[in-house]
Amino acid sequence: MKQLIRNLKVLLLVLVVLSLALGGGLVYQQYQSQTTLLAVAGENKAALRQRYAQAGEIYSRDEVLLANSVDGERVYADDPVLQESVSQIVGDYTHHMSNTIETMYQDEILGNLRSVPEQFLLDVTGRGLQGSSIHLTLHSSINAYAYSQLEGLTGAAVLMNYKTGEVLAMVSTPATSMDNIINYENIPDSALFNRALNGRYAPGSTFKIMTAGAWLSSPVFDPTYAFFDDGTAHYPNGATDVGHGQVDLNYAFTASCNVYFGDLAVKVGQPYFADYLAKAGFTNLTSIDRLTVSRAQVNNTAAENDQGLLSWFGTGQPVGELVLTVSPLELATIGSAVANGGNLLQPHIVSYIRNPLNQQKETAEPTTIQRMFTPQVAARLQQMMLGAISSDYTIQSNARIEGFEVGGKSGTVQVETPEGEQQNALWVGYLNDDNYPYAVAVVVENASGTNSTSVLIGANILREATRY
Amino acid sequence: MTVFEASYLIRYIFAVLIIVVAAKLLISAVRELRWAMRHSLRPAQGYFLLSNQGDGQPLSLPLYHTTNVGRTQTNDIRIHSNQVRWKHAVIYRFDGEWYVRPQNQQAEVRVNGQPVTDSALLKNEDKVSFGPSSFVFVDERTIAKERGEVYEEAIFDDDAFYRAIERNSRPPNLEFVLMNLFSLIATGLITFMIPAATGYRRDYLMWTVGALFVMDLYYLLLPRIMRYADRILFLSAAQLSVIGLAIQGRLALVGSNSLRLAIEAGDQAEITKITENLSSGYETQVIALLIGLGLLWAVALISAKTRFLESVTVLCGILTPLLLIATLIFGRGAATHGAGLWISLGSFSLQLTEFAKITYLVTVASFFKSRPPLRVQLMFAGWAALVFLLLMMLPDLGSVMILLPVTLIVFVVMTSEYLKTLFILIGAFGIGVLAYAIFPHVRSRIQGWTSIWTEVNDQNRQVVYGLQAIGRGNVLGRGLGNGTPGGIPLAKSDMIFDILCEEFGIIFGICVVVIILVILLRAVRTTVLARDGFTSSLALGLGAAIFIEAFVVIGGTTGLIPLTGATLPFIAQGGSSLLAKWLMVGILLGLASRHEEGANRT
Repeated sequence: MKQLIRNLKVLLLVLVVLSLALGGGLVYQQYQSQTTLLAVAGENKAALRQRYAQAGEIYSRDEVLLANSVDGERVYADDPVLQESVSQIVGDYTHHMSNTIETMYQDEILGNLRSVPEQFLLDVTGRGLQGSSIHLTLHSSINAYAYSQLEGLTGAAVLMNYKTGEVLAMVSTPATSMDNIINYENIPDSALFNRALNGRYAPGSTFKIMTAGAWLSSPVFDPTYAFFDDGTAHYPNGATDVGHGQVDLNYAFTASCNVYFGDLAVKVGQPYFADYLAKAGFTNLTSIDRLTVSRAQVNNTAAENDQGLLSWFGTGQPVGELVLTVSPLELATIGSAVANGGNLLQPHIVSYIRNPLNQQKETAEPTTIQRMFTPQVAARLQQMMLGAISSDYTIQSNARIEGFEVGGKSGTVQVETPEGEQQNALWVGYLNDDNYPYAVAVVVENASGTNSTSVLIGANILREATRY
Repeated sequence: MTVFEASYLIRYIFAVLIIVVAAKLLISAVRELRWAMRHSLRPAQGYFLLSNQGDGQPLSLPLYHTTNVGRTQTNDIRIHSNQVRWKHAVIYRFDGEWYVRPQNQQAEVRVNGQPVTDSALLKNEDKVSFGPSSFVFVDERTIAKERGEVYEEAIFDDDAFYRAIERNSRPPNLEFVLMNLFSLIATGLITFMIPAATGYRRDYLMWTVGALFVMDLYYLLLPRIMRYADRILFLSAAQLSVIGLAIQGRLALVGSNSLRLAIEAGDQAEITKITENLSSGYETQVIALLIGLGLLWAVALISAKTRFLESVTVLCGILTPLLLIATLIFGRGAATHGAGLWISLGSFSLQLTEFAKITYLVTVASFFKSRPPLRVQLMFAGWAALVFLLLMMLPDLGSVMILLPVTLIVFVVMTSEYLKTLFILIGAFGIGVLAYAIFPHVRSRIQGWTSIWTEVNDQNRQVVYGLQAIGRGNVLGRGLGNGTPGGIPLAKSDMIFDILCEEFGIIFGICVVVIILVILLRAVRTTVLARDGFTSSLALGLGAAIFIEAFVVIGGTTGLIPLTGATLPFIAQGGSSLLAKWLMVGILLGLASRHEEGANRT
């Protein structure tokens, strides 16, 4: 009997420990499910449909409803163009897309994970079941306009305020209607892919902004450096072009002279160039609020002992083993950094979150990720970008906007695709205007031979933005 | 304010109610168990061994329901002699009789000079020898009877002891009131959540309040039905059952999309049809509960006042594999549940494995009522191997996961065979590895479990959806009726714990664990206070089975351990399970009410 009692005491100890472990395990699993399983929340469509019946709204900056719950149904923007234009940002309640406001702000929209005092306050005021509303920085009209500019093309465009980092327009084409996405039918190829955030594009000549920045900052900078360009490479297998005659820095930037910028890359040297890009924060942009941005990729170590390869790197063409990609959003932040005097700003898509008590949270504040250029270098780059549009020799005449001073840099890249070789056209530009401090980046895939398409679209978006 | 918004606010009240009920029940259970353990070394009244000391003075040695004799300190009667083994013999009580049995073949035990190899019945004035030491077994009741007297001292002592128990037990009246409050509020909410167009509100109220009324009646009458009734145990089971009724009612009758569409279309025939369909599952659950409650008093009284359970141990040993074989042959439901465990009886279907668990536990208790010799242990091992083989063939992994640990618990507690237990654990691990290699469904369960956090696949979808529901519930839940159980497979049965956590919060889930722990503690209290090994062993087995089943289910549905097909006791949908659990409660109540045989027992 003594032993029985002793055994029972040991058993109880074990079972009580097990119970405590179970209780602790429950709390841990709940925490895990709230964090880790968020990405797969879209798997249980039935539960999501029920949950979103009480979800909060998503608004554009001009208070247009982009998503709303009415009579137990989740509905999206009324205007079909606007709806398609924001589809990859706003996302779907069925979570077929994961890198969206509906998914990444699910807890706020559904009213989950509130602090106990906040929840209590909401409960006693009878608003406990309501979700918070998300107010985006996107402008509904500009966004719809940007989308219509890209309609029929494959590409992306981003318009951001270079003083605050707020994104006013972000579109990616092709896109499709929310009904198609929710029902997962009639979806054009890659229409669920947000190219603006997650596209990885070789920057082409738009990268010459960074090459110029490296040159202007380097100890070997020579303001008088000029030569006669006959189009031939200065290094074995190096950068070539059509021949621009006598070129200095300004003219080379305006004419987008590959030989000149190839020379600059070789002059600053591979180690310095790589170090400069790292210090400038070229690969530091990884997110826009809670949405993920594909980080820029850069690796020029293959050009360490190959001046020809390094010269191509200076032109933004990742030939051979070179690695160089940017997202359209990253391109817009580089343009913004030039325009705002050198600061790489953290872009924002969410202006603020408003809970049912009308309290604002997570209000977007201008934040600098890194100083990308010194004020002196930024000023010089501004001069070059503005000159590239205003110059008589410009190849970006499409970018001129009456009544405004526009800076810009275009680029084209030959890329190999499964369908064959194609040419991507890129443009980064900005308005030199305190009232409309906007920078834009446009990428058009498979553009018809020139960069004029992207330049025109970018300028049109900038012009449209000045209307509001 | 809509009823759903009201429900959202009322979740605070639910949380307070369940916390108070769980905490008070736990405090009472722990306090009483500690008291019982402190006073548990209470010898059997009127039975003892008499020995001569060296100085010629007689020495009376007390007997317990299982009295170990040997050389080491852990024995109840310790004999300092090299001719006495460490674990020499055991004197135990079964079915009102006393027996002595050597613990191993080398141990010399004699009764009236005759060597004992197996169990030997002890009668008054029998001379019992352990090696060189001799004792006389005294049965004061027989002596009194022979003299035509009444054995009064035993009655007095026994009653005094139980009066002390009662003094130390506090009737859980507050918990009883709070349980009613919980049930009435939940029932009220669901009543108003049921669309008026169904016309089912009144029926729902009748069924639910009727079941609550029967439970209340039991609680109030229990002390009159039997002495020393364990009302804490009853209330714990009742609290879990009212939680079960609330959540099952909500799942059956609130939030049906097809019903909503029919109401919108104004199709009365369709509304009636859907309502009948939805309510039938809930009504079955209530009926099972009422049958369980109806049988409760009979089961409890038979267990308490008779030796019926002792007399059917062999029958249970035969019945257990037969029930499993019947399920194996006639079982249905494999298509929907992965295992064919249901036997159709007209319009009803029964899950015989739920009842096989009870017969299994009765058989286990009969084997381990005392420290059985190796031969009996091996016999048990053969029988248990057959049962587990049949369970694996069904395949009923859930029952294996429950009965294996319960068997080990009863075995190690009742026999103190630590080394063998270790070997069995190693063996069980080996069998587990073998099962993983042989049975595809075991493999897929394990693979599903290990991939919960990395991907959603057919093996783990159920648990991932369940975990998401728990995540949505947060601390206090979304309120009864406001959860989103849509899309979770087997939400009413296997995954009910996750639904509870979504609607009532994780705090509620933890309180459910606490209440189940209380049931275990009450069973252990009965084990401690019992006056014979069989009662001890059976109470322990039943309590452990309920606890382990809950543990396996909660652990499985929350991804802590691989998921098996077991159901949460008293809460999950399943008439057979609910009925079987209330039968177990009935037996436990009866065992708790047993007391030493004497004039009080008729």
